[in-house]
Amino acid sequence: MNGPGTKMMSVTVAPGGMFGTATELFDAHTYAPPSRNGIDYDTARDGRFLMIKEPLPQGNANARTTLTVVTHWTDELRARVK
Amino acid sequence: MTPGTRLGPYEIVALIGAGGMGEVYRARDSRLDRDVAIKVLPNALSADPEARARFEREARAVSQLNHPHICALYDVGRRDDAEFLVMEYLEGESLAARLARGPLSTAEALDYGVQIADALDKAHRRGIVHRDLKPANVMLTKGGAARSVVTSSRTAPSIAKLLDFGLAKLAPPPTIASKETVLAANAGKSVPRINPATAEGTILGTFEYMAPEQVEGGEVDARADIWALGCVLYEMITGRRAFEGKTQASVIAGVLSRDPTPVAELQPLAPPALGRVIRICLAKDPDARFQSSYDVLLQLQWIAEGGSAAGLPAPVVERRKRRERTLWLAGAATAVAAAAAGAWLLKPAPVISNVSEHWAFTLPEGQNFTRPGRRYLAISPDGRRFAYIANQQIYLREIDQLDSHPVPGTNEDPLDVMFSPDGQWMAYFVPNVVLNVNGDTATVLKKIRITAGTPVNLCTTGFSFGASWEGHTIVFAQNSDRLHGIAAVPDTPGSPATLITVGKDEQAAQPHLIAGGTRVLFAVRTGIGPGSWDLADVVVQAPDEAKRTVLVNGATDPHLVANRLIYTHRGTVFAIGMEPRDRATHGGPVPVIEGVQSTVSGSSILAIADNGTLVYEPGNGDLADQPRQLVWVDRQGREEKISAPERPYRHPRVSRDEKRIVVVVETSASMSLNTLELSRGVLQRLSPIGEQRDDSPVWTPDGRVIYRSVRPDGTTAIMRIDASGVSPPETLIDLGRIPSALGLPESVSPDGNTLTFRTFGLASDVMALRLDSADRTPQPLVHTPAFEFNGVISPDGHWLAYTKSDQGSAAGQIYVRPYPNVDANQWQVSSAPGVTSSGRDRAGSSST
Repeated sequence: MNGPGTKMMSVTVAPGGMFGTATELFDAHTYAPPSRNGIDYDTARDGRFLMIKEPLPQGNANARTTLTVVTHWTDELRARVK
Repeated sequence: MTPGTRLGPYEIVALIGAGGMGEVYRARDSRLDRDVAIKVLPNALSADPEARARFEREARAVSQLNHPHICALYDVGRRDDAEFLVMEYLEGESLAARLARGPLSTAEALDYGVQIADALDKAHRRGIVHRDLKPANVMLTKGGAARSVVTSSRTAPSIAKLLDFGLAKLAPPPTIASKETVLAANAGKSVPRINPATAEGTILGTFEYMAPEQVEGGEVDARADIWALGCVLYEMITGRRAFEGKTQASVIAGVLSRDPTPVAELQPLAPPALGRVIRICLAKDPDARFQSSYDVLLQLQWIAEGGSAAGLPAPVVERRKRRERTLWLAGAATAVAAAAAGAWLLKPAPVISNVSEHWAFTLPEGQNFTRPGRRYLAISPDGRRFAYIANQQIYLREIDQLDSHPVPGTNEDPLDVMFSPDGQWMAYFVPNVVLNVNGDTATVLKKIRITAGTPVNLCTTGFSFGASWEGHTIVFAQNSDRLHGIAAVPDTPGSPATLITVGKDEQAAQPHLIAGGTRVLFAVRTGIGPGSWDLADVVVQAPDEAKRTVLVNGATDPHLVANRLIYTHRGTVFAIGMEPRDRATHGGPVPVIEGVQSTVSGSSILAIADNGTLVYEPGNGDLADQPRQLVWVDRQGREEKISAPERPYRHPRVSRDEKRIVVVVETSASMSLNTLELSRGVLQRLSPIGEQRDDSPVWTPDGRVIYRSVRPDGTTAIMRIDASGVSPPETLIDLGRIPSALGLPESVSPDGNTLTFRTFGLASDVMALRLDSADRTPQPLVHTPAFEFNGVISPDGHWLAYTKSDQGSAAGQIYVRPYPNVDANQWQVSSAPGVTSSGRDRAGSSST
């Protein structure tokens, strides 16, 4: 993967050690990004990739595409935490 | 539109309503897997400028409102010439449908009245007048919906939600002090007037609920909604409309010149005070009505608290007598100023000086937060804008605007964005920047003006574990062999200086300079791995001292705000008293936000501005706990879902016969191996029951699984187990207690004789362990001063591909060496940083 969670890249290897140019296969940003603790995908013989799809927004407060903005929050804070 | 029609990600399910201004459909949002309501402006009306204006007005109005008692707007869109709004789908019935069965009980009427008033107050504070409040535009929804703080003591069986802002008027919102402004302005001086959005004299709304000034086509403001609220209250308590007639003319005549039948005559058991509140709402002169919805809300709450005795002339406490007197004065209608004073007296003692507002910002379609392991959110100190990282670049969103915009020049997959103290700059880290022709990479700390321009490189450094910008200094945490602790760098190009070094088996994160820059507040954990941030300490330490003071155990992501220490534990934000110069907290911790997204680097996705505005991402805490899907993706990017339950998966590996998958299920509390039979979709635990943490599995040709196991005592071993799970695992090599350096199996050679694994931490090499030998001494395969990892032997056994990074970040350049003669040559095959996995195609060649 080229860049954390960005693109799946491929380089062909010919007998004798001739390497091709890296080419993009697909956009991979919706899949688990690489971590320091191992690779989060694998490959099959037919060239398919076994991938982990990142958590999807659930349409509720846990949706990963939503931010909550609270104005005057520190006033609440002062009132609640003396 | 017919069921099955698609509007982008929305699939029409059924028509649920139609009216002059459009059709409303129930639809399914395939991305979010939820029901939505889609309001479509018909093609015929799309050409009508006024109809389109109304439609857009509704979108603008509702998009500014995020409130438990206002139907939420999720999205807007257009297909061909048809415009549509995507809104919260509400199950239940309209208040109108409910009233068709008769009046409500007093308690229910008061409860719904408070909720509607609360919603109107929210809208009015945003400068929005609904102008068409009526029972048909109030939905009573069932089950589980949230209520606002002021309506949390519920009695009614449902939640009221205000709908249909199609006739709403927008104007600049009043300031937070507007409540007082409105009250003080009762003489009519500064009640926020709103410029007519329609041609003068145009009548919009429903006559039965229309204020006199609205019927007359004159200028209207929030007090027209208060009139309508009075009508709705009247109808809820009596079961009859306040103004009815056989013709529109008779209705209008009633609105303009007649008073409705007194509530007490139709509903003798209703609290007299409620009758008076309704009467004040329905004063013909807007100046004689309540001047804000908040005042109505307070009145209704008070009546609800007082029960049926409210309004009786002999209250048992002096305070109530005073309230009654002021109510009576207010009811006199002519004593406008007295009404204002009375309303003020009715207010409870303020606990919070300014009333906070909550609203949601949803990323535009196609945007996703990136760098989930690091902080991707910041807010400017003045609270006027926030920045987030999505799709590998920084976006800015002005608080008072609807849209965000990308910041040119930041599309470098940045992380840990932060604002300068003056709010005019942003700083961020860009990992894996190629420094030279040799392909050496480093993380670069950059800054850029919020108005865009060219990013300025401040310094090269390592992977950030959180940073903050205080004065002219940026402090950041880093956990590499070069710098293991907290560093500081000027906000002009320079070199970072170490402020604090932490232990080799520790990691520091999220530093802030406090007490005038004399101390550093930060989090520190011991060891790594899932859940370790839950056990971290929030500490304070002076740069020139070795002494470190632990403020809180089991906490991370500290902030010092308004003399309170803010910290996070497993998705809950707590606060506890702390003076900046103290090395101790005082009082007890108080949970102040439930459900904040956390990251694997121990930070939470929240940011707090100096003006008190908070922005955060709601979530379940650690991202690692969130269920994920296993999918096949072909080389064109086409996805095929694998039949398997959704779990927080990591490290999937296909067996050599491709009939099974071994995969790690990782939560913040546990980490275990599981096998999945692809033909049946059945997931079974493979790890022995116990408290050890197992991960990084690889298959052997004979169908066994080699993995790493971290035992409860902290020691690490590489294990092997039969995939059937019938035999206990055997220890291949015991690595002992290795701080921050774990033996991660990465591949097995096709002949099954060699395992590659890595160490990771202060040194990282690709190691080899012979499996066909009794000698369990690992040998380095690739050993340089740089970090080498993800060493994978190709399926034909001729190549070793690996990742090389000089900073220990998750990505680096991809190299290939011949195998097993790895020292014979090496090639860099990537042109940009990446991670390695050896592919297998039908031709037998390899790809990375």
